[in-house]
Amino acid sequence: MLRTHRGPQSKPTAKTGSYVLFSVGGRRLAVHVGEVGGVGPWPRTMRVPSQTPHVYAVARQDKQLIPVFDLAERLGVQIQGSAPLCLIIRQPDGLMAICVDEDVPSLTTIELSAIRPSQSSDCAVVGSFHQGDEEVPIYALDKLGLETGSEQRR
Amino acid sequence: MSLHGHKTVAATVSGSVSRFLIVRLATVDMALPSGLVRSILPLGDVDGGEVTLVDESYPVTDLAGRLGLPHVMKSTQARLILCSMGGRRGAFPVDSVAGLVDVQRSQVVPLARQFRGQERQWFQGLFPFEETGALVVNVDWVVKGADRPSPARVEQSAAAVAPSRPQDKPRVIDVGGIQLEEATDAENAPWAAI
Repeated sequence: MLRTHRGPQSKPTAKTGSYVLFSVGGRRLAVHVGEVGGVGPWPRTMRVPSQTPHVYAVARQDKQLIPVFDLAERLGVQIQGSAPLCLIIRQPDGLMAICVDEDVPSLTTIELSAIRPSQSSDCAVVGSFHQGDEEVPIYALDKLGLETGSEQRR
Repeated sequence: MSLHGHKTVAATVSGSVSRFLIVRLATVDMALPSGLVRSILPLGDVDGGEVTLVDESYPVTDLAGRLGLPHVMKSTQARLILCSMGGRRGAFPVDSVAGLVDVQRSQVVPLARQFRGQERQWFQGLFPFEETGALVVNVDWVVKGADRPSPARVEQSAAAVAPSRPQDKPRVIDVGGIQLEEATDAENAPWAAI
């Protein structure tokens, strides 16, 4: 469930990277394609009483129950659309589900030289690039939640 | 309706299957190893503090509150679950009892590592159940918390505490290999349908 298009600055000979573009609360975000495990309809979820910030549920994926990271809450926005999608991300700790807007994520290839170093105070943002008039932050999703206290990790 | 454990019920049905009692707190399905459940009482009889059953006292703990969930409201479905583990006993209200379920042990997995808070102590794991899943409650944590009894924050009118009714001679119900005793106040618990 990914649309593909080539970024305007792509050149076959340049060093490029592939990123998945998606929206959360109307904000466009990008993650490296290697971090994405899949995209699908938002599945049924079950609340999990939790003290871990932004991790309050698990989603049923076939016979698996994978934790849900509430990225919208972290960004202070609300998911848009009546049919949100599920972005499965790969983390060192395992798969994690993120609820994203109903806009179908797209795959884009951009030159690495077009990526600007992060100016964001958000430790999960590792850079950004321009697409149209928009500055799209690149998130390292494996860093989500780490700022909340890695000392609690077991 | 209340069902008293006739004898210690093995939580393990066979080498590879475990039996759980599924209870609901708010919208969350929680699983209790069936061998640790001593009784299920109607919540209407309990006003918090402590419940005595067969000369053993069970401090009542507000499990929902400890988990950050909405407090249990008194209703025809609400029940008080009595548990014991390692010589400790405790009781806690739940919104309803869904029933017993046998689960392959291989289906019970620990909480994902992304859960990094106290919830790792609260739950021993989870397994797929119905359309989502059920959380396996750490009964040891529950009964340890019940050591300091506080009035269970159960929304109710003004029902008097009816501790236990040892004079009520329960009858035995055979529930799929588990023997349970039904108290005389038993009428409409979900267990009856199992």
